[in-house]
Amino acid sequence: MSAGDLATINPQLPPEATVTTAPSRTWGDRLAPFLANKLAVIGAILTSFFLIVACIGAAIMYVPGWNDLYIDQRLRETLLRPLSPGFPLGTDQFGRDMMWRIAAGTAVSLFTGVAVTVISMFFGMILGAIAGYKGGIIDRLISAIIDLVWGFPVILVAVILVGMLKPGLTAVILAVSLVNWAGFARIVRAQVISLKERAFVEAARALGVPSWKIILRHLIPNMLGTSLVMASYYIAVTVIAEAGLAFIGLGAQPPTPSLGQMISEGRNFLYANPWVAILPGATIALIVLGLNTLGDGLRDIFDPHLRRW
Amino acid sequence: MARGFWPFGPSATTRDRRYGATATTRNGRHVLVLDCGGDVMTASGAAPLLEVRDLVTSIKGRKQDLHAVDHVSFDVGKGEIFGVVGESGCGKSMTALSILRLIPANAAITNGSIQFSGTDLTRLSNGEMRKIRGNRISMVFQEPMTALDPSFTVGTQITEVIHAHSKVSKDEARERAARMLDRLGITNAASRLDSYPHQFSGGMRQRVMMALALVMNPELLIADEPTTALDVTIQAQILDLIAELRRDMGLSVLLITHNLGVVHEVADRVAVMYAGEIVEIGPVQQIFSNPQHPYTQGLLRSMPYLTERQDRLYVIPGRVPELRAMPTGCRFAARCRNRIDICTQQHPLLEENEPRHALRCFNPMPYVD
Amino acid sequence: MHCAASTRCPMSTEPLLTVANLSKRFPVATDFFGRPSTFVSAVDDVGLQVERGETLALVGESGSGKSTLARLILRLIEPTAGSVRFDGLDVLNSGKSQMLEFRRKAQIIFQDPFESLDPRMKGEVIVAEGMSQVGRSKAERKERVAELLDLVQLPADAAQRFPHEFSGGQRQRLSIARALAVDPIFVVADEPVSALDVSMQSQILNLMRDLQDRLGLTYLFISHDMSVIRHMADRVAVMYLGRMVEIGPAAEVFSNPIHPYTQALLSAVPSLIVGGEPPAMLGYEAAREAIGECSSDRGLQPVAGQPNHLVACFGQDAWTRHRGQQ
Repeated sequence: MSAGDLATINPQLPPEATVTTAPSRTWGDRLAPFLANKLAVIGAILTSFFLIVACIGAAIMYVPGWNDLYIDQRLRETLLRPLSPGFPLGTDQFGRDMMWRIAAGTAVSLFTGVAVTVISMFFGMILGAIAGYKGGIIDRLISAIIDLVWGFPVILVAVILVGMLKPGLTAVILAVSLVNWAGFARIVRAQVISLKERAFVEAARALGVPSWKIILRHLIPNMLGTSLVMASYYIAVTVIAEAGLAFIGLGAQPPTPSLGQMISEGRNFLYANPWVAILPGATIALIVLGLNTLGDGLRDIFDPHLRRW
Repeated sequence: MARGFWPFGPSATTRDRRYGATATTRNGRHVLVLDCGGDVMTASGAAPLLEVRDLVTSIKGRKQDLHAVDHVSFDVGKGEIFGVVGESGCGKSMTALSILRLIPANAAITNGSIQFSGTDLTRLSNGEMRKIRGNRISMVFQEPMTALDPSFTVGTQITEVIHAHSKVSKDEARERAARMLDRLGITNAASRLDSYPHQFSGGMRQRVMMALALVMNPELLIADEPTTALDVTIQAQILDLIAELRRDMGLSVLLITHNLGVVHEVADRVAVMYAGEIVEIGPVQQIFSNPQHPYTQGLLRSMPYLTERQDRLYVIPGRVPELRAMPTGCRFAARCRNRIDICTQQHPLLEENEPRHALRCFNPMPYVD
Repeated sequence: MHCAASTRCPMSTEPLLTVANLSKRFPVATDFFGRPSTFVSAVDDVGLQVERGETLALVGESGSGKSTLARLILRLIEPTAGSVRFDGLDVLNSGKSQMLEFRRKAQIIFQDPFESLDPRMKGEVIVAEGMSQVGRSKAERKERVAELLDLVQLPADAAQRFPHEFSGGQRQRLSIARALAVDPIFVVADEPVSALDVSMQSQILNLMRDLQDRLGLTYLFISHDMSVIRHMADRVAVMYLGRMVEIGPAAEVFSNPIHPYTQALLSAVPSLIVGGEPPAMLGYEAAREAIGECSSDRGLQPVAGQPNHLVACFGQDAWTRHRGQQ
């Protein structure tokens, strides 16, 4: 009996056609690894909390009249400890309400983090993608710039920029962006290099799909996950950088509050009331912790464990 | 006791009773049920070195535990090469990893025993297991490049194993490593000890892996797809080497592969796995010349010939059932050409149909190539 | 007749594909100034022809250059030297519009069905990828996708599924449908079944033969598996270290391999045949006789009595020494 006969004996069994495939992945399935990661959930909660705080902070800074909340000085009520009547988080050396100041400072910190990350991601992705996809002399040129910039200390860049502009948030954002884009570019370049070797990109080339379309349809969507993860880390890094620059007086200038600046001022009153330095410090630590653990959770979602084991 | 009891049953005793059964009646015929002992399990004439009984390895699922290895029983005799064949996901690698307790963190051995020269490996502590691994039982993997550490010389990696399991001087360990490399056909063994893995070609790297596995003179070698990543000419050399080691050192080998040709070339006995279970087990010659299970028959029939061009290749229709959606009846029923009513209703047991040859099938059919 | 309007219509006797003196060197080291200084020859002076409707199988081990050769032919990488002529078109000296036409006619199927499909695209988007270049309306595309899925025997709901929801065999079907979407006449299959299980392998091989019959396709079929080659090939070309060492009708190469490398390949295959006839192995003298006196010429020599069966020159001593070093 030949194999051909066998096929006709059992026509009710077509190859594979009617057998059901694996069930489609729902959002529940996608979120499962995230929810299973307890730290990531904590990260998400922390980050959402500080986002809300930042929104409130932004509101009191920009709605006219509301900024009294953190600017008003009450010289008879200075350096109150937390949980004092009327001041849940106490007051600083000028009698300003710490709670509202921290809210405003969080808004400034997160805004700086997001702004820097958006700017550096934009330039980093474009330059990294071009370097990785084109290769050759263009790649070597861009890579050289990346290496040069990535080796530069942020503080040095900030000092130079502050000298050129004037101390303030603009200088901080520019300085940190000027260095951070190289971090994005390095990773994006490496990703593009490995992605363009993938067979599905080669298949698209064989089908005659033009380069720009390949970058748009295959490369960028496949890098989105990693980029989001990176973004969350970079926001955290920037929050720390901004605090550091503010601490040495290069950041946001009073009356714009910033967490680094508050620590810097608070250290003079550590004996009288350590909370004026501890609270903004703890806020920075929690923001960074939240963003980093969130990043870890995001990585678990986007890392496509699509194959069965 | 109900025959064909669904193996994901609730109580261990029910399961044990089912597999402990020694005789039953089918179609008025008295047949021996071989799940527990019987000479089909043992190697020709030799005492078994490894006895795996009713092994169940489950993977923790979100809704239920999934049996990746489902009541698997077999023996590997002293000096025997025992092959396990099956397609990806059939549980063959998981079986091998279970023996060495190298299963992933989300899996666990939930039933059965693994007797290795008189010791039940499932009852040993992790520390005791570590002493056995690489010493009395060792393993080689598919991809030698990922199993060797690229940042250490081959010599360092081999002597590390020697030091882990015995108290010998540095020079002695080095000498032993060199002897092992030499034994596995690597020329200038002493000087090659100082080479890094990337300085070896693919076939040589697999030899280094084997040296690493064999340097402690293990009694059992577990080889998981040892030749799959290699070119055919290199594959032939490695298979020759395995056969030679068995002959000269009395090594027992558990050979896991998807390649029927490889099993046919070197193994004495073979177990065919499908969806976590052994569906057919017996001597290689018998299984290959006269396969009884429709799945084994289908696998053999769907291989292209080397000698002539066929019109069409035989196709096993359908695909392997998902672990989380195992049918109640025979797991191969949906794809089987010989399916009868009972196949979809009851779960067949592994039963002997000729001496030393057993299969899990209600309705076997003679093999027509 | 598949004859592009702009190009000269090929003579009916002209092979579909003619490759001549094709070479590719990859730089492996660069000097102080970043200029490549050392090269490795992945493909070294290879020539071959593929007739319309036939399957030419390319066999060799890893590093033999067979995949590089396929990518050179499709101009996915640029060769260092040589020429590729396809259906009357000089591929390596073609402009943009001619290349688009070539891309439509010559397609490729890859080895790893996990790698070759974009994990973020649905079945219908994957299959339709090439069609957007041809310029069809949305409705036309949808209809054509359904047609193609049917052609490769995938269920219609495959259009709405993501690659990870398919088995290896189904992915390979999807990847075949993507290649066929642009109505190619020539398909390079680069190890299309080596990542698949035995039962999936036979399904895909049958499907490829069916499609060849129905659509009149020409295949360049790459594999390292001799029995798969035997099943698919009309002619076989054996590559070793970037060179072509033997080429000829499959039946002749398999029953009467001349080059020692081809012989080694065939004898190394673990076979299922119990007591079957091994392929004839000629001794060195007989082999020399069969290919005639070894000339200094690198070209392939016809085997005596088999004008279509060509073998590269080899010296037995040098060959033995070379294999000993491996």
